[in-house]
Amino acid sequence: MLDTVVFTDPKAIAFFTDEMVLVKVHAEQDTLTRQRYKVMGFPTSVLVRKDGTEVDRLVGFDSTDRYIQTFRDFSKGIGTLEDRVAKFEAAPHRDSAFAIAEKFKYKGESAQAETWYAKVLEMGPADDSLAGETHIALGDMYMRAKEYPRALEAMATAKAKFAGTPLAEMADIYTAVIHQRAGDTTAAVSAYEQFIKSYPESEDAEYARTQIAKLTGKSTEDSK
Amino acid sequence: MKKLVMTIALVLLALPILAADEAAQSAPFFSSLDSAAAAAGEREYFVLDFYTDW
Repeated sequence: MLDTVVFTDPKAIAFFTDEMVLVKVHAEQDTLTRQRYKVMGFPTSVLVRKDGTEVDRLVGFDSTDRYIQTFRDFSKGIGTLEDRVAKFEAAPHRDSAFAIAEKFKYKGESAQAETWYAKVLEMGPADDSLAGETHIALGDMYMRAKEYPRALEAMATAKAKFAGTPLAEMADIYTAVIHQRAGDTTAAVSAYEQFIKSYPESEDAEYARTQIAKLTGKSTEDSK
Repeated sequence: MKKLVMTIALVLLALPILAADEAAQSAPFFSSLDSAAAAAGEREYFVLDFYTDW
């Protein structure tokens, strides 16, 4: 989407001609650069200075206007990790703590991220949606770090505490994905099948069918 | 024959123009920070876009 939507936009073309320089890094080929910046997911856009030191990063997709604005802001020190931590210290807020935890997570700094996720849980009720999102975010972080048992535990906590809510649904699909990434095909197929039974109308049901087909070599029609 | 030669010549002339137009439709980029830094001029900041084929 960055290639087809953002980088083809005349505003982005002007931005990367006049203001900043775009460097496209094929993460599977240039693994050294990927490791250097501890890239955890795709797409990841890292703002760096000429000497390669990181200013901050954006993970995921965004509109062209927001994409450009984010990097203009980062270059002025606005919205960076340091800026957010300073603002949190001046006025502590759970949402800010969560945003800081996410930034540490995507920088590959798991210990710092855990500390900030813990702040989110300490600062508010244990059963609101932000608490649920925090358990799922922790599980996601463990999964990316290939700490699969901890990832499954976090998802089990989210599911148990938020049964019957969209958070439990999210925990269930994550559980299947974690089994799959851990290489446990039997558990993954079982979890995907259970997901389809529990949430037949879910947007992720089709994804679950596709993964079952991929794991078993059967057609997606067989799992309907 | 002369018409065919003219047509081929026009196509050959148009190809680089079409290629340039195509290139202009996407933001200019480099494949490494070193090459980008060498060509950056006064621009101080670089955006590293990490991508995969999948």
